[in-house]
Amino acid sequence: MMRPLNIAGLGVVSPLGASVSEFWSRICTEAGAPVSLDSSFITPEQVANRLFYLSGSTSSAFKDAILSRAFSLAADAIFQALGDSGMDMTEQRVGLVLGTGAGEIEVFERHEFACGEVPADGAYTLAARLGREFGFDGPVLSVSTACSSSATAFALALELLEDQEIDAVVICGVESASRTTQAAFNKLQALDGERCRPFESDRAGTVLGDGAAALVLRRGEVRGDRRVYARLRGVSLVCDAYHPTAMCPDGAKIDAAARDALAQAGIGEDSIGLIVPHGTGTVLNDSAEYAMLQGLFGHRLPSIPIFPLKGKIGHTGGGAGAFSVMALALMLHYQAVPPADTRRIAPEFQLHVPKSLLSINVTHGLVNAYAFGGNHASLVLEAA
Amino acid sequence: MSLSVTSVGWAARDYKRWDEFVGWPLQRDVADDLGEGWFDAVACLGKRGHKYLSNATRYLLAATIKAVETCEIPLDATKDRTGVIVGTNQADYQVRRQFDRIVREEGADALNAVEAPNTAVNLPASHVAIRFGYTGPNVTLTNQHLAGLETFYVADRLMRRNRLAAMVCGAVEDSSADAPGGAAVMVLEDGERATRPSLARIDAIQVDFLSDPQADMSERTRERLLRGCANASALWLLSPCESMAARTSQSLQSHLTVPLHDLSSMNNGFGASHTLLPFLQLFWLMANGHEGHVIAVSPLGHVVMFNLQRGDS
Repeated sequence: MMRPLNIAGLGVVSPLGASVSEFWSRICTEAGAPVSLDSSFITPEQVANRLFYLSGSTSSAFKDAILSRAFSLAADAIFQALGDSGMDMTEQRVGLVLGTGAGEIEVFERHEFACGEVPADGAYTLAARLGREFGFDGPVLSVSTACSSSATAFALALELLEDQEIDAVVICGVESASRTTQAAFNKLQALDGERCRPFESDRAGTVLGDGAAALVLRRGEVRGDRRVYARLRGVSLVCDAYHPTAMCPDGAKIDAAARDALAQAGIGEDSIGLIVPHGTGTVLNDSAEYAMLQGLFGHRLPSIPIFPLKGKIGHTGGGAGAFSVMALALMLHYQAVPPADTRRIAPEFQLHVPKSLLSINVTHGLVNAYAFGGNHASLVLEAA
Repeated sequence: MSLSVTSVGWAARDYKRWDEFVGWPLQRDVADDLGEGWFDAVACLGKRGHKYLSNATRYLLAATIKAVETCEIPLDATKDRTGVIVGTNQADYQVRRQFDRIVREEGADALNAVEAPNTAVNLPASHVAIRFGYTGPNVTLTNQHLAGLETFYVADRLMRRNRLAAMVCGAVEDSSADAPGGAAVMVLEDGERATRPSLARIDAIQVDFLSDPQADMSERTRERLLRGCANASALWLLSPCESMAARTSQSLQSHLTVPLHDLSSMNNGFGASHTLLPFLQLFWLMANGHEGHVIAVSPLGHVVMFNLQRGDS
């Protein structure tokens, strides 16, 4: 069984708010609102579908922020999370695990690719530069498993906390708008033209989004005046080794990931009272995930509240796992499930998607995070 | 737990340069078979199935095929307990560059949908899993310079936690302006349960970070870096950056009781901007039967440390 780890600090920059309190308030009261990406970055002639859930303004208080939106988003989220946790970076040894799908490729798209100005650093130096900005004294890792990147980051953070002499690890999931990513998804016909509609009848693909979510993970006792939002109890990684983009239709490996995460937590599926699914709004992926949930939870599934976060903030790529874990931690903390934007659940999905704020009395929740390449993860959280 | 390196494999755009660098007789025959010494996807991967893969994926598949064929481990029997951990900085770079040009000049409709997944930097590792059916954890690390060596840390911890049978670890890059692309791979098994004689053993793997790599090293950091040296016969310093290695060497030298060997000048024109060079420096150590404590440092502050022991063969 895994030793519980405290989620003891949160930070976020999202399409629905640039602080944790604003994020929680707005996902409880507002619908997501995708916009069309700026035509100076992607023109309608270049990419027909430019619909995107764009995060709001960031502080740009950090020295590299002007160069890179990903840096700005991540730095803001980490700054908030460290402040929320009360970690003293001069006294305590803290590590960082960054999960990002494409790093700072947007900088290359704006500069090198478009006009030949070669950036000083590579597209994946973001973790190191964040580490330097905040003075992290513990290990700094960067993981890129596409849309499960920041969920995978929890598995690496767990290992760092188990065997390194460090007090805490910050996990940050970040993704910024990328022309090549938007174009590739467009060409794959994987984008919905209206909004992100997980598990709905008319879902036609996902809608991408950007933002950053940061969580402070730490062992042991947390000072009395500091909050523990929830505890990480299990995290499991699998690969279905099936196809570069499609999930294996038998769902065996995603089922194994969820069961392994439950086993690490030392609980059965009957303890799970809340689910944040991967739920991208793509036809096949939602069906595969539903089949897995049905197999795991059986007749109980229609009674378990499910919160498809991407319907509110879009698919934040490598940041999506951290956003989902943060949302679940907040739901366990407040014992409430925000209303989903879901309008018409497909009849084949027997799911309990709350239409209004739902009070709950739940001890454990499940997060799924799936990705291109079959790099899938499941996590179990426990109420603090 | 120590990791037993039971096999290695590599594939590169310019084989002869790599072969000369590593000096490992194990695969000279492969390089010779390729005549001119340039990577030939058909020779390495067969006639079909790789047309739409990225260069990085082709290199990694070719290196893994060689490693798996060489090791003769019955990985088929344990493929659900075999994982793939890969380090890269540029596996997606040329694909995205080409895609971006097409999008700007012709629009997204002109892209080839079959190649679109190659924009994901984790696809090379995923293609290894797909080809060999490895359904253990599949992780791509992307820290500049040292992501390849960091794979040992992740492999070691995930093998312990998940009781995995083997891990394919490696580094892969597409070609860039300053370095030819390629991939280098090791098959790692739990040292206690390895099914074949080991080429080398790796243990006590740790990762660290210097938040200001230009500054003098703190006493606390120095202690952490030298902890593994206690019983070592030598300290080997790997780095893609000579000035960074010199600074590290200067900080550690006076506290050492064993000889320090700096391999940072050993780069054979490979450039310093990606993950392959430190991995090849390690290959050189192994090929030449060296052992001791290894510290790898990057100019961005990443650090990987482990003990390297000679193997059984």
